[in-house]
Amino acid sequence: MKANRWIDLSRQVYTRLLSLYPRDHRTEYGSSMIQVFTDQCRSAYQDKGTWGLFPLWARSLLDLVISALREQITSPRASWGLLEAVPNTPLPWKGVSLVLIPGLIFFISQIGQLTGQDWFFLMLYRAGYFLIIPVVLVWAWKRTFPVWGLIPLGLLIKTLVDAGTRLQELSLNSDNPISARLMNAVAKTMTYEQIGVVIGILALIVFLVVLEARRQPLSPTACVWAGSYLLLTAINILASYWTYGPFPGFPHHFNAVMVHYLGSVGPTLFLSDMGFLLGVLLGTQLARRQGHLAILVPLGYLLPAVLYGRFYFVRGPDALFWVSTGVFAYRLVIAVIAPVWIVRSASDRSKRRAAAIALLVGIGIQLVETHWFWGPMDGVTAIYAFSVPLITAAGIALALSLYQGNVPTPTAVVPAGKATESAMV
Amino acid sequence: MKNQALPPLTPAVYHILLALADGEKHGYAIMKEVEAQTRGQVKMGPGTLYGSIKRMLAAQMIEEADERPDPDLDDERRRYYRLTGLGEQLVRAESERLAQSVRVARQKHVLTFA
Repeated sequence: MKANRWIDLSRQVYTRLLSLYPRDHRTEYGSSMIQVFTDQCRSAYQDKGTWGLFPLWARSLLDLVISALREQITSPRASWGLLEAVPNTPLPWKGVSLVLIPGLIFFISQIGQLTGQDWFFLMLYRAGYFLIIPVVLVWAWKRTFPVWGLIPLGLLIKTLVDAGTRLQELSLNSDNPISARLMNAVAKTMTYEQIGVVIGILALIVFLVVLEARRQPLSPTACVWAGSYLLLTAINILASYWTYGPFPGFPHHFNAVMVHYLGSVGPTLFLSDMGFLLGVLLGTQLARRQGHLAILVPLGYLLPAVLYGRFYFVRGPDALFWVSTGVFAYRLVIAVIAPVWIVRSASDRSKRRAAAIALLVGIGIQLVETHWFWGPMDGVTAIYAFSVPLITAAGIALALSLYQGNVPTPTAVVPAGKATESAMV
Repeated sequence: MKNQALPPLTPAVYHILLALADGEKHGYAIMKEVEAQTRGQVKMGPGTLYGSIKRMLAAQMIEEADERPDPDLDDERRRYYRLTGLGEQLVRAESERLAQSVRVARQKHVLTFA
């Protein structure tokens, strides 16, 4: 039979759709599958003409989705949400999609917020609950916990933390003495629990680093970045203290500052910063074992922080929208895209360029946002503007240095022309 | 190996084994044979077919044939598959299990045709 354009078109579309399958499956069986599908097309066209292709496509699409999902879940080399650290190849659509989907949820939530509704909170948290369902299914099927399950788990943890904050607010605003006492007691408990979460996360981070150090001595770069991370976080906490001072109803200054950080109302979030670092550390540990870069793990921590963290600093719907957009953009660039880009870059020069651009984008967006939100900058707000991206960058660099011992040193954030090859570890 | 010791097969795996029972075939031929032997009730797509083939190769139920039945008449890119000894045992055991079920169904007048 001579070539038919509908058959050719079907073959081209089907070939593109094969990217739904894991790479190893595509390599092994992709050409055979295309050949079989083309044979089916020819047969259908011979029997019923062009219209015969429609039922074939309906069946084939269903078959493709179900079988691709099965291969994705069962293939040891492919897991949804993991970006493989292969230099000089395009980013896999799976990883990119999983970066973009939380962003989509975020923007839809923002639209709800702009119209003065509060259903977006439900949407955010329900997203966490719904996302946990495929995790449970994978666990039931394979008896292993998928790495990307940390995303909905991160959402759920943040939900608990936010619930504690809400209780705290209720206890402060209640006129009923009995319920006020009750709520106050609950709020105090939640506050202590939140501090406990922070201590727990810190302990886990220390444990992971010690575990890594026992495996092989930490490189000087890793030590530098770990120290930088802690120092920058301390500076950030002090800046918050000077800016906000004590909260009404919280006479103890330390408590006031901690409530700011732990309660999701601060412009920088101690808990999410720590959670982020933990996520990156866990991701790099898993990446080494699985041959993947599990950089998407921190999303579970980042997403709620981005959405909820600015709720109390609203100056109007427009400001909220653009501020939130800016926060999301710089966190996405620094926290998610940059590490993947750096690891996948083949040359040292391109690694440095990626790190520099990511950091400049982060600081630039943060500077604009700070100026717009807080007005003319003083010393403290300038510290804010710089410290948040730097904290994130330090965390990423620490994790990457643990991951492959080949990341830019602090000098790498200067323009690429001034950096030298000796700056690489 | 006794048939009772062999595990039941999934429908897709059973039909592929049955399609290969009378000789080696390539993917599209397997698909057509499955459709014919089930009177069109089972229409396997390429995804299901090659997913099953992958698992059956790993389980050593089938193996890839090194030579084409007739290289002059066929596309050399096609890959042919054939049953292994284990595959033959499995398809025989599953068929006997199904036959036994049919016998019971007849005894109980569940099946009305001959």
